[in-house]
Amino acid sequence: MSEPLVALSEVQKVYRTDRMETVALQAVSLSIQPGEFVSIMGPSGCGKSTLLNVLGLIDKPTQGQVTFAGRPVSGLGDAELAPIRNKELGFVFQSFHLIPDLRVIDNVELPLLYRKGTWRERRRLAREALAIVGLENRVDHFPTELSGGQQQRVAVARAIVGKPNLLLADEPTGNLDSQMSEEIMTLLERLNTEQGTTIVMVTHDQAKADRTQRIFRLFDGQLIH
Amino acid sequence: MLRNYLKITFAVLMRRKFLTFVNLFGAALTVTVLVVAYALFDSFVNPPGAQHRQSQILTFSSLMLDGRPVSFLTTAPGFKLYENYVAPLTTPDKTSFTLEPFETSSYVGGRKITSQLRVTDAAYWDILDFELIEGRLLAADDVDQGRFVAVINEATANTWFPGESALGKSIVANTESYEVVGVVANEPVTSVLAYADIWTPLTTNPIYYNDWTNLNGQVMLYVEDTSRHAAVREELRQAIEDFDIPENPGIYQRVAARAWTPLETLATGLIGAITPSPGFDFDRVADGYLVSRVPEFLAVAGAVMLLFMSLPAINMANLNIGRILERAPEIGLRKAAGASRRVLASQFIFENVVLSALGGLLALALAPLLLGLLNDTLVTYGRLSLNGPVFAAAFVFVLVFGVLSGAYPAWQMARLEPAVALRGSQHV
Repeated sequence: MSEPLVALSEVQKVYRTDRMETVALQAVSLSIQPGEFVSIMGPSGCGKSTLLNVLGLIDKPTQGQVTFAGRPVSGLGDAELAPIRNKELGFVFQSFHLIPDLRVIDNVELPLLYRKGTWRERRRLAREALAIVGLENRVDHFPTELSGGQQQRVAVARAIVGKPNLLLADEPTGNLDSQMSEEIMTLLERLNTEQGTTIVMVTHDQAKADRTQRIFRLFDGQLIH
Repeated sequence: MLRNYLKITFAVLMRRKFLTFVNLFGAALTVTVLVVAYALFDSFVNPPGAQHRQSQILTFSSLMLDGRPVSFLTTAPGFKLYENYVAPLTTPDKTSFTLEPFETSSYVGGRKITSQLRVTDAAYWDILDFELIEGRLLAADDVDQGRFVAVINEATANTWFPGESALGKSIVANTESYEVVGVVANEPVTSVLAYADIWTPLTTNPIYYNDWTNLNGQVMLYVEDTSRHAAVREELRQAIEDFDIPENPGIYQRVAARAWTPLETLATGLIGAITPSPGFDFDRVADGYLVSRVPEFLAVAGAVMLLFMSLPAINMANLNIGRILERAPEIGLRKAAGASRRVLASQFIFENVVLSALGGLLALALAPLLLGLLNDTLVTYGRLSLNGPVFAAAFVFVLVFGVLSGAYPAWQMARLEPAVALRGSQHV
């Protein structure tokens, strides 16, 4: 077996406030191989999104180790994590998180702003990404002028524009009707099979999880098998 | 990247138009006041018109005489002191004596007219560069022979002789009648050496030239090469060391004189000169007396400006924090997309500098109106304007204001944890 793209070892995540302590993840260990399409399932509040955020290096574990492409990353600071997020990771969120004041193409090129490259090059890559998600004719629209499914496809284009190795999707079909959600699911499958992108998807939908290669089930912050 | 930043900047500004208006108004008002203050300062330090060569002029208008326990005197040079101790100096290229202008009233057609009268020697007209409208300036002969002739400015000419040439006509000042031989352009009150309405030879009345000391005396020491200022000061110091007031011989054992650039004069005028206390050490006080207060003045002026800017900047920062809370998901998204804290903070400061720059543009439209108002009212014959240095100062103010008001919110924004920000957390 090749080296995992991302691996967690005995990861614990605790949220503390003045009054209480909430254990969101407890002794979670897992590894994801390059090219895999895996899903994370579990009831609301079980820690799915927290697990995805830890995998995506946008949340730090309270304890345990995170390894990305063989490199321990748990102890890295913001300045070291930022380029890893930029080059290796792409995110798709349930609520799209598009910037409403920017046109579609400006939204898509966002991750490219944080790496070297010319405006022309950024535009070319953004148009390519939009073509992959079938929205090459919507480059100058504003997000509010698009349907929910189209907005999520823009979000997918933004996530893949930087050609990341790992795509993290947090309930990407959660806000969509069945037809649009099928569009997005098909798109993710295509990205996995055709581009070899590793995908981790949080979902509530068993049918969609069944279409992935592996399912991680979480309950009260713990992986169950 | 800048293009993207600009797009989001303008988009954010358009989201909350009233908030944007408040921000812009605050920035514009602050920068306007600072620009006007700087224009005033600049008019003293780099005056237009006759005094435009003032960087080459040292002004000797104060001296300290120590005759304790009998007397101690802080005064200014009179013409006799000038004639005997300053005129012979060899390091200045030209020297001149004049008195500060004083008020004189006359009646023209039953109407009382108040003018500022200045008495001068002939060299005064060589050192300063007056714009001659008609006639001629005062000449050496006029001074040598004590002729009752006068040069007046345009405003006085228009008041006394509206619609006709003033040349050859008589004008009354300080109860004496003078023949007008020349008309020069108005010089603003901020040009402390050139300002007056009427100029006459100082030899027209012994009270102007018979004193060894005169509280209104102004001596100009002109050098072509400003690097010789130090040499001029030293020669003046040595020459004045031997000065003794003939009317009171032997009383004053020690004398200190200072010759300053206009900035040094302004700085000491505003900060305050050394005030000796009883029993002071003359040499130590004289050292302080001779040293200009420019560093203190610049420090105080800078602190006042920063303080003045900081109040609206704090207000603007507060409003900006509100905007940040609204933009938490965007911040989380940008962090997830690979923006580091430094990059995000830079973006927000950039946005704020753009907002301040817009306020600065408004200020550049407002400031000329205010400067025009000052020129017509408080600043007699004022020529306050948005010139190159003032424009550059405005640019600096905009930059400092933008950074001041953006730095704290930017830091707050940049330290948001991405996962927390993506949830739209209201805690910064």
